[in-house]
Amino acid sequence: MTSASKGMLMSPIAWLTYDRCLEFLDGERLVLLRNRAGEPFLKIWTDVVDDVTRWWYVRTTEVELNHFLFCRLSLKQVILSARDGFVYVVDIRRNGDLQNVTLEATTALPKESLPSDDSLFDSDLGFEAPRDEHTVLIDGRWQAADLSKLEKRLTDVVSFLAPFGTDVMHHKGQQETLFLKDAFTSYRYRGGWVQKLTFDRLSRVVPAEKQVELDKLFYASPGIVKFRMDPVYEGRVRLALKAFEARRLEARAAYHALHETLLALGRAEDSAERSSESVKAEIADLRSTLPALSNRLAIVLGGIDLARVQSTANDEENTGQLLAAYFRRLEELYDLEADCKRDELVDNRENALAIPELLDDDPGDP
Amino acid sequence: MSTGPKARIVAGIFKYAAELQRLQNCPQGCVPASGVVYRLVHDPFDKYYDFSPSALWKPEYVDKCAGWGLSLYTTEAAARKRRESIRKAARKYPHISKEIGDCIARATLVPTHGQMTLPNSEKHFTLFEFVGTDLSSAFKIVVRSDQ
Repeated sequence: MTSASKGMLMSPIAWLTYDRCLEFLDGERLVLLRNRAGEPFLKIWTDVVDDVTRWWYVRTTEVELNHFLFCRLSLKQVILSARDGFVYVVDIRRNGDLQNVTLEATTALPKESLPSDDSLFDSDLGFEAPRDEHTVLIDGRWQAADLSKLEKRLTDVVSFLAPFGTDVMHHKGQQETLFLKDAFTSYRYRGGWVQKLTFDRLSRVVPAEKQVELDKLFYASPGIVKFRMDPVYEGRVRLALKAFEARRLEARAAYHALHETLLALGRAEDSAERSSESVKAEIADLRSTLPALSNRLAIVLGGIDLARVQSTANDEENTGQLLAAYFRRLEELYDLEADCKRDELVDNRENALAIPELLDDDPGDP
Repeated sequence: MSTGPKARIVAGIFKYAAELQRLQNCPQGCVPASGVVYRLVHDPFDKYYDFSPSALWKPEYVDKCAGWGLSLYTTEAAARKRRESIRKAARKYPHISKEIGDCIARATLVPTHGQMTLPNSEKHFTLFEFVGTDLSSAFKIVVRSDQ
């Protein structure tokens, strides 16, 4: 799809190509386009008068685009900091015919058409179309080790969801589960090493060409990291993070209940009195509670085929350990990713890049 | 509201029959219109934006089946929730209220109005009008923009 319309062939924006719709509300409102050099342009629905719809086309940068997508910049700031110092004003008739293209300096844009100061990106209005990249905004001071950790956690989450995720991964599920059948039966989860072995084993389920790979880095404060990923896996990770975001308190409570029970079971099984009747009874009691606790955590996290986890773990303790280990990795990934949290928007705006409010300032000397 | 057997009505009786016929399996899974429904409208009604399918004024909707129907809600609460989304979006698109109204109107649909899809989890559904239907006379505003 191209933005080119009749009569636009002489305009630089005629050669923009459609990347994706960022916000859709009874029609496209915000569309990401790119020029031949890959530079991002935002096509912003602005107004409608009679049968003519007005759009603003704003050339921006990859960094600013991502800051907007992570709610670190408002749409107003993106417009006012347009790279060219002006926006293309494009009027299109209802039938799709182009009526007019003009340039307007950002300083001359009508105030009543400008977005407000809190015009932040709303991912709920976006399409969850598959993407082959996973973008993460890293705030504050960060180093190579942080990147490595981020990549590892992303890989871990993908490695777990590849064999055990529901929905989109189902097409490969049976084969992957067969590969892992009884894989963790002999594992005894005491300490971190066995967890690492588990996720190393799980990662082998993901074909080499679909493994998470560091793709691009944009050095800025905050910075942006892009990982190349299989679109199906990327979509599943986004869903998992979104589900976690929505129910994180509940998920943490479910995890702690499961984790405490697993710890108690471990202590009982490793105790010197494990052959005594009372400890045996305690172990049996703890084991009997594990399936419900695992089930609870799987439900709250969503998108997990618990039956497949059970078939590879082969007992209730290892099932619980796998789920708990996945939870910790998902939570860590969630914490690592600076996300658009509505309750932090004010802080985000305060921390946003300093972009002058051009309209409110005297333009001063030319 | 009827949830009876799914009916495939001959496209010829729909108001936008020619457009619907161009699209594959459109409309699909519909039932005869019925029940109390809600819609976001302007006050006073804007006959164009309030009661015309968006495909008439949004090129990107022309090839979408739902674009030739009207968006309605089965509960006032669902319509209010939608209105909140629109108001939030108005921070970015200050003139959006020219297209999407800020009031909520109610009507009672009957089978002669057309065919409707089954409501989704957000209580939203699409009505495909029959020729001769004029919903502007069926709807009455029940929640004004300041309510």
